Amino acid sequence: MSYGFEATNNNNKVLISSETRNLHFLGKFSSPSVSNSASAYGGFKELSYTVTCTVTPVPFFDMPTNDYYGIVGVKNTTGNTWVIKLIRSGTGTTYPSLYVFVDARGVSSTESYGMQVLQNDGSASFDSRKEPLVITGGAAVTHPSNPLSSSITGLSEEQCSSGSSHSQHTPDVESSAVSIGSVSSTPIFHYSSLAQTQRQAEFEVSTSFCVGLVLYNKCVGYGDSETNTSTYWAFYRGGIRRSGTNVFAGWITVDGGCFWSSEDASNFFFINAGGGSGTGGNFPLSNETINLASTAVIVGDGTRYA
Amino acid sequence: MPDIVKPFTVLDTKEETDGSQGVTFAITKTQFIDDATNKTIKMTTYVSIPEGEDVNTFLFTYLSEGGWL
Repeated sequence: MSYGFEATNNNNKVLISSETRNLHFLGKFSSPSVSNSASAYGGFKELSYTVTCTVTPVPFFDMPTNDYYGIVGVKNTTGNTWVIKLIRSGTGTTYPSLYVFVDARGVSSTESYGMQVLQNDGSASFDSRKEPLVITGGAAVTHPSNPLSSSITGLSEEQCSSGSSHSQHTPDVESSAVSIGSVSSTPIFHYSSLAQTQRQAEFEVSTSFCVGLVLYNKCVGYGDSETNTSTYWAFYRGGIRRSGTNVFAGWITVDGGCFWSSEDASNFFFINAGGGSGTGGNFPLSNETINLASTAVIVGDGTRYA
Repeated sequence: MPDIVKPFTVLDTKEETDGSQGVTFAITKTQFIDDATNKTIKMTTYVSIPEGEDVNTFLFTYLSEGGWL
């Protein structure tokens, strides 16, 4: 850099530069709309926050409960309107506040003094009047591969009649503690939910009846068989929770369901009276976990941004 | 585990991030209700097996404790 301004810390890392853009506080948003929710397997809520800004917003959130949280979307819906989506585990009605930061071009200020650093096009890369973002800590988290500590067993084979009231798909595995250092009374986090996983189990029962005679373990006459199959599944996305100065990476159940099939077959004097079936191939996700690379958690101090 | 006919079938294995093995397996059990009726139950599910454990031995013990064997 032959001109301009650069401030570095004692690790020679850039804090402010006329070549880059710092983030500044746009606003705090505390009244999301609930855009999706479910109560099965621990439950979840998808919260939508609508933000108006001229440049791309970068969201941070606080964690008011011990549940898991993660950002799942930042979308420019129209003009300067953005919708930021965040998911949380559980069915509680306590929602996080969203702290939104943008580069200095997206924030106005009426203060008449401070320090401003300009880029060579005259736009501000840093403006001390606009509450610049201060990073207080960070970590990288990796989610466990399997959200369930036990395999799924013992569910009904017939027409998904175990429903979703069982708890076998409720996630109960999380990462070990990851330290984020000392935090304020209201730490705020930037974390994107990238990891995804799916778990399923299939239960099948085939019942054979002999209406005719049973001779030497063979059915002579009319026989009937019935097969019922139910496949129970759930889909999860990654989330983090905080406990003291640690964060933990776990799973949020965002969808669940069941698929069933039933088949009857008849035989008469060993002759198959009709019908036939076959299955094959793979589903796109079947007991799979994807995007497990470690994910950054950036920590700030929410008390600076009232 | 001795080389015997296994009452379960391992359908897929994958390595998990902590070194465990994720195993999808199926097991079938037939019950003779009476002379004219029998019932075959099949379960296909997934389990994480700790690093270093033998898959067949683990599943045999796991299914025995679960009442399948």
